[in-house]
Amino acid sequence: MYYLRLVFKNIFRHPLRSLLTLTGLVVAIVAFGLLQTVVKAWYAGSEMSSATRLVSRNAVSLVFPLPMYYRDRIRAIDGVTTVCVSNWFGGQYKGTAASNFFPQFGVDHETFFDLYPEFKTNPDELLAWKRDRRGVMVGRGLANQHGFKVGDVVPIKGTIYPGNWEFVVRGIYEPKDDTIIARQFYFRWDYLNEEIKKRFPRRGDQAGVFIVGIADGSRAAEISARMDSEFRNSLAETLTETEKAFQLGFIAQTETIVMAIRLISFVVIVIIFAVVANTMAMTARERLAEYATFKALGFSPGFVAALIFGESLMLTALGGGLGILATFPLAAAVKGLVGNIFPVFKVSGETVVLQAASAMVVGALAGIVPAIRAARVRIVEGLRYIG
Amino acid sequence: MNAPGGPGRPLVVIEHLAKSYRRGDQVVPVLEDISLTIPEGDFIALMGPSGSGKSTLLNLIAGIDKPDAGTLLVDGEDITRLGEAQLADWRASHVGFIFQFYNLMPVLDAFENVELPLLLTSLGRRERRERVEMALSLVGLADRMDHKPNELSGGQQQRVAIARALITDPTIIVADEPTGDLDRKSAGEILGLLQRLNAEMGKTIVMVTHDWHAVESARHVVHLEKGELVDAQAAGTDAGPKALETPMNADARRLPPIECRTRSRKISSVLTLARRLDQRRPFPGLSAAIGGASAFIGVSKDFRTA
Ligand SMILES: Nc1ncnc2c1ncn2[C@@H]1O[C@H](COP(=O)(O)OP(=O)(O)OP(=O)(O)O)[C@@H](O)[C@H]1O
Ligand SMILES: [Mg+2]
Repeated sequence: MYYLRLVFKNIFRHPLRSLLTLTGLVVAIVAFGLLQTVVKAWYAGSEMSSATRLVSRNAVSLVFPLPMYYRDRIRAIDGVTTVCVSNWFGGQYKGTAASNFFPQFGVDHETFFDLYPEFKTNPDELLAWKRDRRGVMVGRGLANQHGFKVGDVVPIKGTIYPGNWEFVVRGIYEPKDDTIIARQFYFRWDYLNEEIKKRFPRRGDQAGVFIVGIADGSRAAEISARMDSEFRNSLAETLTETEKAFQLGFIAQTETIVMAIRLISFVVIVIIFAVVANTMAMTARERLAEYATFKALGFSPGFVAALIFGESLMLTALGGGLGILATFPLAAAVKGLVGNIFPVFKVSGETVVLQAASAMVVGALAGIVPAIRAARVRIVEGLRYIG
Repeated sequence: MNAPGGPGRPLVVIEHLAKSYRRGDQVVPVLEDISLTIPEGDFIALMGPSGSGKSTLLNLIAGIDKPDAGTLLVDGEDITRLGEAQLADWRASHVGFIFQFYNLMPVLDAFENVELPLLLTSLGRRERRERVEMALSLVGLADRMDHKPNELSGGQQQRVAIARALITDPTIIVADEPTGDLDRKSAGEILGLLQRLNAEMGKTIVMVTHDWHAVESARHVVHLEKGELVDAQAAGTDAGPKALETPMNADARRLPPIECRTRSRKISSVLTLARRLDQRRPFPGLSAAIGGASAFIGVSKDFRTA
């Protein structure tokens, strides 16, 4: 179509200017995409949480434990199918380096993997784990990072529970898909408890949290309330919420960082808007005589406006498209660098849609004022504009 | 309708036209009480010192500016009463523009530049192509169709602009210093072309100029001084009433009239002219173009501004 060809040709009239603006657009859209992906990665832990799992913790604070005997009372509540204890261990592997950090939990070996179908286990390995009190199940991502193999002995230095601990790798579980984080280290709570009783007698028979499986996710609120009322006025009151809410509670503590990242990604878009708007304003000003000529020949102000508006949109569509394409390889490269911190670092469909939308919004906003101005130019004034 | 080649019935009738510009709160009168009649088929050179209002008057006649007072009838229609959109349509079908600096679209080649006004008509791609090729042949640029303006000389660019100005077979052609940016030789070519558009095709032309050579091409000179018409007189040696008696024009007068003037009209005159020019002073490439278009001449299509 004639109009589109004209618009396309106009874009490349100043190759250097167009190239610079396009480069800016590509960089901005990539940066926006990567920052959005960081935010997404931040929430990945909560995204993967199940609607049919509740987490019950000490109402005062997560640092206070719950008595172990709560397990049986929770199990007796209507709607509850499984109860699994989970204790945060917080040990160090090979020193304090952040790159060596991974989460360790003591869990009920009988029920844990039934509660987490998103972790795929080998039945023989699972059985081996259930038979070895010092056994540990490690996630595929973690095993790959440190080269853990079945049979390896992994020494961990305790911090919450001081001392040297040793665990034997009995199995490696796989994530169901690439949105699932598989970097945890699950060993047996009964072994932990036994050792604690030996080493710190007063700290035995305590649970960090209870992970509670329920049959019907839509009853989560009701069951949580029932559980909390069960322990009201007892020594340790509980606070029960869905696993997702529990995870988001963690993230809430880092909310300011997430906010800052969101803000930066927004600022990036505002800056590129300024750049594109400037380009379009310059362009439209230079071509006033041309637009006046179009109008003299009988073309409507709308046609003139559409020329500029279309050019602005086409420019940002081009930059946005290239930016989106460049985001994928770059995200993969970033994942290589920050895989420990963000096990799930993947450009989501939502991010791509946001990138495309911001490119188009920038194009539309940047084009609208120059378009209107050019459409309104009085022919005789526009014609005078020639040098 | 008058035969091409000589001035006839009044085409442009200007009465008590006034125009002033506002600079801040100061009103600068540019044209005061202008009355002028331009007959159909005339070729007028509008002269006068710089700042006298020549361009302003031309812009008013061309319908790209609005007067403060007075009437301006073109072919019986008072264009001062038309709204913006109506005026744009009117220009598209009635006015051919030639500018001092050509005002071609730099990203479009010669063909596309000439085609531009036809995009506002209902003509199909093939018909447009035939017309554009014809018009470019007329101005002697059949072999430069795919050249961009920056690949053409000033004279060639102005010839493309002339092709663009006549592609819709306008009622009137306005030219503001069409030779102002050209060397003597190129200017001569452009003036020759304009003269032939007038003499052989009967195009009514109003041309603003400072150039006395240009004046010689015209039939009449109109002098503007400080916003007032001084007088109108017959111009140069080979124009004016006498020119009608030259064999070329006598011959031209016998040719069939050009149908045009209405919103839905025929633009056969370009082709008729092409055929005629071919018999006299063939431009390079014109004969070939004529061959391809001869069938077309018989079936000149109605077209309407879109
Ligand atoms: N937009 C405008 N605003 C204010 N004054 C204007 C405007 N356009 C033209 N004028 C004034 O109107 C007068 C006539 O201008 P115009 O362009 O018609 O002159 P001209 O005869 O074509 O001159 P030149 O031979 O230099 O082209 C000039 O004094 C000019 O300064
Ligand atoms: Mg002027």
